[in-house]
Amino acid sequence: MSGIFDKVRHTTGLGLNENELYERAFTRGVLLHDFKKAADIFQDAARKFSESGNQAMAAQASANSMLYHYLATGQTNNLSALIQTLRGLQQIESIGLPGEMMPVEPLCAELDCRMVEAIIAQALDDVVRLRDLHKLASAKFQAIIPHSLITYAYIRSGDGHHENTEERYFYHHGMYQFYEAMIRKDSDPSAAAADLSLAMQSFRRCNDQSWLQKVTTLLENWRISRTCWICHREMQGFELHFSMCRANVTPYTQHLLEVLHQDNSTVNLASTQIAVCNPCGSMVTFKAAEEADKVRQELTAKLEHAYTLIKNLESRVRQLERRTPLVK
Amino acid sequence: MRVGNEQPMEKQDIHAILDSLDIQIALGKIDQLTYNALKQKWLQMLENQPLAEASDNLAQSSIIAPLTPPSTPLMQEQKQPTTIEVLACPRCGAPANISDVAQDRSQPIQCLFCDTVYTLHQGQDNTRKLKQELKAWLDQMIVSNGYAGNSIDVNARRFIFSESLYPTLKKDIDRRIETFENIAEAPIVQVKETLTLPGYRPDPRLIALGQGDNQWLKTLSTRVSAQQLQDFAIAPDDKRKLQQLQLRILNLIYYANIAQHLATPGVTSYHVVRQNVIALQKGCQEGIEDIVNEPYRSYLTTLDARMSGNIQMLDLMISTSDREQNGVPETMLVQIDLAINQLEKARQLALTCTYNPLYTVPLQLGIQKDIVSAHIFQAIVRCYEVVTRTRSEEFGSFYEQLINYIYGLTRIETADHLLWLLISVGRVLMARTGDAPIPILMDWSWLQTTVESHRRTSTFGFSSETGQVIRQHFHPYWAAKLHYTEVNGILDKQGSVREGLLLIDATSPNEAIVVPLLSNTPALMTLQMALHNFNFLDKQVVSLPALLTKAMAERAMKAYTNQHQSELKVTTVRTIGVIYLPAAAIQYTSKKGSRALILSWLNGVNQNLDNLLVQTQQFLQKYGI
Repeated sequence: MSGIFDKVRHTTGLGLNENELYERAFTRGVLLHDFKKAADIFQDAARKFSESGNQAMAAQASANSMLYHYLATGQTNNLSALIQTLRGLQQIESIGLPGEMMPVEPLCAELDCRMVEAIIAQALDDVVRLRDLHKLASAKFQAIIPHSLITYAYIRSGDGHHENTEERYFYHHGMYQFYEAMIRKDSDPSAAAADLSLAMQSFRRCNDQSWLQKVTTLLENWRISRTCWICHREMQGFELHFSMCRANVTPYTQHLLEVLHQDNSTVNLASTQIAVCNPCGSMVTFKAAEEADKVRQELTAKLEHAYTLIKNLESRVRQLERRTPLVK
Repeated sequence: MRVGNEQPMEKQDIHAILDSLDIQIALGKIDQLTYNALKQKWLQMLENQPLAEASDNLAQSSIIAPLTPPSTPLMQEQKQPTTIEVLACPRCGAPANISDVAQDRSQPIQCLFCDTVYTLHQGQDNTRKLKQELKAWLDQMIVSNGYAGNSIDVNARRFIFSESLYPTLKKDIDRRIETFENIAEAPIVQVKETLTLPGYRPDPRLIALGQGDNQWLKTLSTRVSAQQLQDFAIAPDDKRKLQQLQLRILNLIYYANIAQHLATPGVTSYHVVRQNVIALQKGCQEGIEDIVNEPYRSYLTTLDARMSGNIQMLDLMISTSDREQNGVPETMLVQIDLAINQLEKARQLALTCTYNPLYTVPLQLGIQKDIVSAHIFQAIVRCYEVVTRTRSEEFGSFYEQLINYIYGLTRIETADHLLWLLISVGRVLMARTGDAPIPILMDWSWLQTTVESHRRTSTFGFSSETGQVIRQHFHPYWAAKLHYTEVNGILDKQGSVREGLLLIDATSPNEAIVVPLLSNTPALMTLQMALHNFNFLDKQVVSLPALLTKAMAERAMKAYTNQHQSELKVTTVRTIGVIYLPAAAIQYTSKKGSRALILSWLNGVNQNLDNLLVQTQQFLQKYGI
């Protein structure tokens, strides 16, 4: 009778004690790769362990519940609590294997990195914040470089770098240097180029072709210096602090530069362009816009006047048209 | 205005400088801020000038020394035409080793670092050209800072160094060396067989530098090591920064020479590589003394340890290549062990090094390659040691034979693959000579039954096949412990962990042959016991080396478990090692013809073994093993 009762208990999961629930989480959840179900059963087991006063097992079951919930959903809101619970333990079952234990420190360290990555995913266009977060992430990954990644086989990173800790370190280091360059580009293009150079090396190390190409192109441009055609100041950073603007240039123009021992790379005969720094270029643009606005305002006033006249004339025509039948 | 031991400038000099500043600002060579600062400074000096002029007589007194101390003239060549120059090799740019300054200018000098022979005269010509270029560059740098003339005071020199010379030089060096930042990833020592393998090919850009396509490198080397430049590095910190630039440039020269000579390995090349490695190590050791930054210090210590291991390895390779008579393999093995221990020590240092991973990771990879190269040499010597126990054999000849045999077995993809093949051959040899047992299953009882079960029979027996065992051999398989989930129940499914084995035929690199032995397989227990049953190989039976590396086997296992994930739900696969199982080549003959089949104790076995079996048999017979 008790055999049948036991079978019913185990089949339905009702009336199980804490140890049976803990085991059930593995047999009905983890081993069947149903991590969501495993998380729920671990949670029940944790509650029962807690009720029975076994706080150590309650913490272990709770940690497993949060861990498998994270692995099943990818939701990061419980990561902080998970890390805190894990820190109270010495070891925990290896993911997917009930009989094997692993130390909690490497898992905590990796989850700590994942927390920073979760914040990075939310810091959309805040360059300064992104720089700081990527720097923090790279420092955290650097500290665990000898260890293998634990959770990335289950929850992939969105950036395609999940082979090893080293790869993740280089990705974040590259991103940190990239944002550092973005912050410094307006004050010191040389320093920004040096940052991009480091970013390039990091992206090369983690084989991120997309970022590598982007950074390499920027680096090449930002290293170029040209003397501004208008103010004669040397500016560093193509499409950053100077640009090439269309102008009527002739061989005589170039000859003149050579005779005067001036920077002849400031002019490009083939594309009929000259180098203009951003202040000069923008000044011309703004002045042109101002002048255009003046013209527009003048013409708008004239048009409005003409429109009023037309309206008046139209109204007179309509009046005349109304009178015409009477005349007829 | 006096600075230290300097004398006041002439009024006309200051006017000249102010004129020069005006020209610089007009040409756009300096910005307004610099112009204002410098103009202010020189105008102030001009204001103080009457005082200085009044004390003209004092100019000769002992208190006021020349602006540029005689010991450190700004333009050495102008003032001291017979000065002693630091010569560099006209080809690689490494410092020349001139012991006797009064040496005959037409006497040949051999560069220790690139093996080029040149005369002192050629060396001086080359140095002179580079110095002219240096002078032009220095003049340009100094003038662009608003200075002119031959005499510049200490403060101005310090200013020029920190504001212009050092940043410009560093920027040039950074940009040039940027593409060589992974230099430490290249192996320093290697045998010629690894030269064509991925990751071991010397960098073509470095080879080009070593072959003399290096004008920029020589120019930068001249600039960074010039006495004239050092005169500007007055503060100790400036001196240190300059030394670091020198070290980077010199290191690149040495690495380029190493790459160039590794491309054509031989006794002479090993000697040249050794000189460069010693120079690299010397640079490291000198650097360590001055470095206060602990992470960088640990990086240099790691480099130093690496170079020590490489020097030991080069010494061994030089002595084995040099020696005409047979080497003593036992002594060679002891030397290799020492070198490998030293390289392992370097690897440990690299793993714990706290310096920037951008530099430590390439260094770790480079050391790993050195270790693989050393292990390759060790595996060759181990095989040689086994062979020479019973017969006399010349090392060079054995080396060639062994390599030919190895390359005849399969296409070698990586250095790790080459190393594994050598280790695998060595294991077979040592298991046959009774030195080192290996896991083996010595069970031939299955053979007759299996031969019979594969025999094709006809209904009336007229054209039935007869099976004949042509050749028996021991066949290598990679074995891995497999944990998988067995699912029970229909409505209430539950999983339980089961243990099994995955076996990969180690002779089939192109097409993976995977045999799973799950918990209910009868053969599982036999094999689990055999994995712990170490035995020597029978000399009468051919034993094949394992052609698959551990990584290749693990790739095949991963592909298999991914493919069968839904049914097995594999939790872990842990590689155990190679096990030898009995196998045989069978010839089935009937009236219709004949066919050949390889049968093994396991169901899955590579059927294309003819070449492997023939080559292995010939090799074993040749050396009587």
